[in-house]
Amino acid sequence: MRKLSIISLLLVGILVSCSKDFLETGPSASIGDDVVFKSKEGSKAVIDGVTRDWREYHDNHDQFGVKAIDLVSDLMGEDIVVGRLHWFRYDYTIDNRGATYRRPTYVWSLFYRSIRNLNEVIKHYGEATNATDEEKASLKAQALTMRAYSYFRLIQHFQQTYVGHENDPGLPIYTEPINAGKPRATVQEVYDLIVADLDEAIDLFETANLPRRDISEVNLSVANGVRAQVALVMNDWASAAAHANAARQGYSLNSIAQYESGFDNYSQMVWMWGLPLNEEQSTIYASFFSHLDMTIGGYAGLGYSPKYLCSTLYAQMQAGDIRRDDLLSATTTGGVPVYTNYKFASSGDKEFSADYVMMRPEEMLLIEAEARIRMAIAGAAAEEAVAQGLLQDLWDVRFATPPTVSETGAALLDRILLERRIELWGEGFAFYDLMRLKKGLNRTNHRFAAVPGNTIAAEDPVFIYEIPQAELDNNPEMGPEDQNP
Amino acid sequence: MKKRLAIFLASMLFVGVQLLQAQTVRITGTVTSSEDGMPLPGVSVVVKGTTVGGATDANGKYELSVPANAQTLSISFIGYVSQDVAVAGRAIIDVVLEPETKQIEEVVVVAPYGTYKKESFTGSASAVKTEKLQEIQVSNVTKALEGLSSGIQVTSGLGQPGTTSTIRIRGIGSMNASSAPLYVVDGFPFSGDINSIPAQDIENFSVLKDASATALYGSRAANGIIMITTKKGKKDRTQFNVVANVGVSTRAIPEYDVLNSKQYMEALWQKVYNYQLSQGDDDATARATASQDLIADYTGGYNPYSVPVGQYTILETGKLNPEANKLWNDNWYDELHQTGVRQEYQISASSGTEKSNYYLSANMLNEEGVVKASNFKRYSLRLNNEHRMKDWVKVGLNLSAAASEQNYPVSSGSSYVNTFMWSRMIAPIYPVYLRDPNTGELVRDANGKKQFDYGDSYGRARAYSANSNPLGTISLDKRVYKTDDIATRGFVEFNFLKDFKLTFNGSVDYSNYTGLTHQNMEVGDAQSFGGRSTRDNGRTMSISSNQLLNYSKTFGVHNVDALVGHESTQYLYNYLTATRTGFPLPDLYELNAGATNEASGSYEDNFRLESYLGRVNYDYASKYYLTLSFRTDGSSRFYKDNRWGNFWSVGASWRISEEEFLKGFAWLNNARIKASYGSMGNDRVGYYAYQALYSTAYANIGYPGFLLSRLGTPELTWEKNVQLNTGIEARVFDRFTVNFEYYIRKSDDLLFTQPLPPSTGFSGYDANIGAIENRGFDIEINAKVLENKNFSWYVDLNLSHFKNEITKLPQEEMINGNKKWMVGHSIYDYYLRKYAGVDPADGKSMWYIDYTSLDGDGNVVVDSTRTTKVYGDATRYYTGTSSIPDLTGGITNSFKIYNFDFSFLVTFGVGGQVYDGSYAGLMHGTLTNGTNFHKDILKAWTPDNTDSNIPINDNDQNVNAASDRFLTDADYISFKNVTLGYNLPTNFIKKYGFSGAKVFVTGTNLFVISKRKGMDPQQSLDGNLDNVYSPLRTISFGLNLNF
Repeated sequence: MRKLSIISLLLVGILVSCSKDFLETGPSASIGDDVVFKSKEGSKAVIDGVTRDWREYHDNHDQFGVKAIDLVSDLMGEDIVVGRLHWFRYDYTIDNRGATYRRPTYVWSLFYRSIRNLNEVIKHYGEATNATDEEKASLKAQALTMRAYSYFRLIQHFQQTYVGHENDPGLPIYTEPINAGKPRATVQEVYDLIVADLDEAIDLFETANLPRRDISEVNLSVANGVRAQVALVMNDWASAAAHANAARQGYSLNSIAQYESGFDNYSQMVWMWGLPLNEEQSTIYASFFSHLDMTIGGYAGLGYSPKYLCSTLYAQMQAGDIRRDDLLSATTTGGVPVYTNYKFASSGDKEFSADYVMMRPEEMLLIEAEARIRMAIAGAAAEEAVAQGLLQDLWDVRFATPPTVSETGAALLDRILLERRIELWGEGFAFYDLMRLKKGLNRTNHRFAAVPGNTIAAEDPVFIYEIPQAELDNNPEMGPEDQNP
Repeated sequence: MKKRLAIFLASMLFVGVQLLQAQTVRITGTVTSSEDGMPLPGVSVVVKGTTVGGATDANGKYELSVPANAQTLSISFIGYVSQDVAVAGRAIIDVVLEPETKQIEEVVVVAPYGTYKKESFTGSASAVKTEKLQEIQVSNVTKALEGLSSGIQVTSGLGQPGTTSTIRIRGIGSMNASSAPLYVVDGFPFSGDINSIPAQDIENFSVLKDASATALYGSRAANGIIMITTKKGKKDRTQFNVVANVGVSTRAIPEYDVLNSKQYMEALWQKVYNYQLSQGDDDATARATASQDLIADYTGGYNPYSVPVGQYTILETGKLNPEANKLWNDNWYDELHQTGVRQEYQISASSGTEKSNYYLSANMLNEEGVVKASNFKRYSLRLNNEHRMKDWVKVGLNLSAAASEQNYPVSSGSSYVNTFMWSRMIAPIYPVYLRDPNTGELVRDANGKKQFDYGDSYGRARAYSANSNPLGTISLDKRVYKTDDIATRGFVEFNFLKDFKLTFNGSVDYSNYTGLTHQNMEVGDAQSFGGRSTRDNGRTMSISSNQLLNYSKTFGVHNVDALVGHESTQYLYNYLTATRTGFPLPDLYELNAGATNEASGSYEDNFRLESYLGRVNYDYASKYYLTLSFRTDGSSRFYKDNRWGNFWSVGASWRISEEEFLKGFAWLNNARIKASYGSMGNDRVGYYAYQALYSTAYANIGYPGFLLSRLGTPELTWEKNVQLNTGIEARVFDRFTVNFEYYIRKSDDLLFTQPLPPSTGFSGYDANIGAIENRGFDIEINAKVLENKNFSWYVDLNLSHFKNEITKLPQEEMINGNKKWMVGHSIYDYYLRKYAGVDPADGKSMWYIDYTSLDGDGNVVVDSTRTTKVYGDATRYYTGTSSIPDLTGGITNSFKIYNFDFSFLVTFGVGGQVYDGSYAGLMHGTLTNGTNFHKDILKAWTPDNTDSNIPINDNDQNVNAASDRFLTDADYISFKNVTLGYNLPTNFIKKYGFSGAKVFVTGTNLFVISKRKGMDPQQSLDGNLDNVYSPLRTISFGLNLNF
């Protein structure tokens, strides 16, 4: 009897096997690719994931998405004076382009990561079983707009400007999610893709004609706005004017009160596109306002790396300009006179969870004005008055007592370009303007020297990044000969 | 024959007499111990083969009436070797008993699913001497291992009490998956923290190194196994043991040689001066500017000197103004650090009978670190219990519970408030406390207390990390980690059909931690947010069970032992975290008090494993041994088609000394030859290593957001590891034991990131592509140099060497930080720009560059002798060195002199280099960050010192750029442990009822001799040194009592 019981125990023991699905486990904080695109919500979530990634913290405190690169752009220009060298110091001293440096790698990987995810959406959005045709069109249009934007940001850092460099090596182009590396296409091919994506997106948005979900969602206006920026770089003045005008339809210019609200809260201003933040998704010290806003205790405000408006720009601002009289306060850094700028002033409002501005109607107005005066200079005389009128519209909301725009011709062009520097200070346009205008760098009244003499000639290779070493090392379609000079 | 006949006749006679008279005789005597000659009470004295007998009294005396025919007395006492003594007609028989410990202890190897006598084990294992392990005063037993076993590499780890050291067994078995060994505690892989096990509870600590030893753990065994077995009650009277240790800890690695205030101010002046020259200033202007701007622009307004009005602190000569008065002399290191106190107390009781045994212990440890407020406290209890219910059923349960609390101020990493980095890097000119800038007097608060200087006082902005002060942060912040570990192991064992044994084993490891990170609202990073607290919680539950059937049988000279079994494991981890900001008052830190939710999240990880296993041990006449093992594992980590894998091993050994032809050599006590071969796996590659996954953590404000986080890899499977081990082991002259083993470990199908061009949006995907090989030898020599009654000397030496070589890669070369992976090179071969010294003309650094040209025949010729001053242009080369030492080892000398015992352990490493990043950080080229310099900066190039190898002290981001300039030889000698003990005389302690009492003093990590002061050559495996918590030097006094 005892033996029998033991033998039955033995059999039980040896035959104890686990049930068939014992070894089937899955993650809890991730979702399989087979599930994501089954619904429109999945595709939209990937688009939102990319949007979040554009304002997310990545490894270092000078890496917080698109606005970090915007700040780089301004720091590589002439109008921000850095009071102490800290984060972004090598961007400011135009010494951050090496193939192994963090900055080129960051810009490259951030936007190519976006492109990969957007290509997944563009490939799979149609699989959603619960989407209407309009919803599908809108999903694709959003992905195309964001993909074009990504390529547009990349090309401006990894090659000289479009005009005169059309046949130079540009970027590897991916229109599908694949793992095989592509060779550098020409600048022309890159711009062709950007234009095609935006034009298709504009069509699709018009077809879909759906209401916008929130300000972080790219829509018809944003697609037109990016298209206008691209046309400006391509010196395609007519397109620039047309798309810029189309883009800001429905948006009024920010009033004085709105302009002085601190640029930290989209609900207090007129923005066409913005990345709103909340306290939970704030990246705190590693954020745009930490580095630029002097009113909160971030890197700028605490004195690690205060950023000022350059006295050279100040000298060109007119009395009565609220951007001068209300938002600047004179100080010095290391003996150099500078101006503390309160344009970005989140204190008492959103502070470290301040929203990021991506596009607003004034930029569109200035694109249109610039395009029109250029067309006028090129012979379309009627455009000059339009350009003057546009600038006047802006001055009307930047002065308590607006002066009258009196410049014409080249002087008006210069005035509009100056107006861009004043109106858009700190919003990430300085470097891109400097490149497309082929002005070179000419800093005066700065504290630290970028190079001896503070001057770098236009189209100097130091302005563009080297292709990241990891790309050259791992892309069979690229070798050392493909590196930028 | 004649004698036998006589005995026979005599016995017949006695029997006859007894039958007639039942005659008895009286025998008396005293039983004493050979150790000290003291009488032994309670010793059993019986007539052999009868129940007639008695026990000794308190004076060790006995008195028996025994049958007159009694021939032999059996004398036995727990803890002593039993003796049979012939009566031989005597009336007084005194007996001296030998303690059992004097016997040569049988070395036992604890292997998967069983234990072996060392001579019958075909695999490779080192049994670490647990008494040594227990002498070393650490809070985590992994930190005591260095030098105690061959074939392992142990980093010094962090000094933060409670942390674990990194351990590698026989080289580096993986490149991207874990190379860490598997920890098995009492028969099951342990998922708790090893710091929950007090060293005093450990009975056996075996390091299993080859296939024959490890293959039964299949897919988890590729990197070796550390088998820990906790104590059991012995068949013995009840024993109590009390161990108490109290000691003090200081830093084991001293600080680098850095500058004092005067030197710093002069060096900074030099830098500014050189910078001004590089900006085009003439010499006079540069000097004037440097003197003038030094304080205002470069120290952030801080000046530790007062000088007469109108004068500069640093004169235009670059020298300190002789009229300067030092205003303060605050020492950041001293203020941030402390002498830690370490206390550990353990009490245990154990007992055993034929039927059952138990071991019960309680342990309390409180170890303070050298960083203020850093510590580790642990309370633990253990009950190990076995009971034979019937002659065929045995049950057992090991139950242990530990609760620990760790306070860990930031003392590693790149955060400014890392106390080690801060005190090393901050220029010595900055005050710790708020001081009047003109007088240097302390500025006290209303209560007369010293206040901290946060680097922003009096309108200044300290160039080093303004608005922070780690001392203030430490006192106001909280970083606490509380862990509860419960580990249980139970079994039921049935013996049946004489040779069979069926065992059901089960284990439940439960580990739960609660973390609190609180950044205060008053100063520092969270000041702007009104303070910030994060609570996190992780719960690990690991449940395993197995069913094992054993068959064991001896057929004449053939011994067979076979095992088959089934095992399943479920591992579940849950994590939860939440962060809030906006605290109303400084003392509040729980989330409830915070006004604003800042972050929260949770996830769960699930891992399952199912296995079938089998093993056969066979030996012939205790001469030839053979072991065959097999295991098949199914793992949830992989796609269902690649989920199951087979692992196996074959091991054999030959006790050549048992052969007739060697029997004549009396000096050869034992000799054997062994070899093993087998295949194991390494599954530590993430939990869902096949799915393409989107991370769900990318919500965009109120909308969910996904981002592709992992590319799909359905083909992925575990790494394979094939190991060959050969060894020879001998004991000669009953004095020396030598064990030599040579091994080859080949890892294949290595989990690798197949790199992708970053333009694809991914830097790579996981694939089984690489292969790596480790070859090496382990030598262990144990010598009994002298063994006398009052003086003995033992030496244990172990030596390890391995060579690591990559044999297959997904691409020709992969650069990994300052290493490059290429076939034929090791995983840790440095690949750096080569420093070519300083240009004597201008003091700028030069590096070598390859210059390519065509020779007359059109062949490409590379000239590597040219140099460049453009860092980015310089070519990177293999430096020909790696971070892997050529030889590591440990030597323990143990002496017993009368009642004293004395031992010291010295460990050493020969060969290998470290990349001294801390030193490089102190040789920086930055003007404005308030960072101190290493003294070597004083030897930098100047126009008067053009022979220097150190570049000009100027503002150049490449002045200390990574190159082989910062590679430093890693050779070291470490005085790891010294212990001096005194055993109180037995006759003295017996009076108080003790059976043993020892007092001792022990020193751990006493000092390290290395090439540069401040450098810890054992800090990391990859040789990259960082500003981390120095290991602790602990000197303890202890008491060990047995009763």
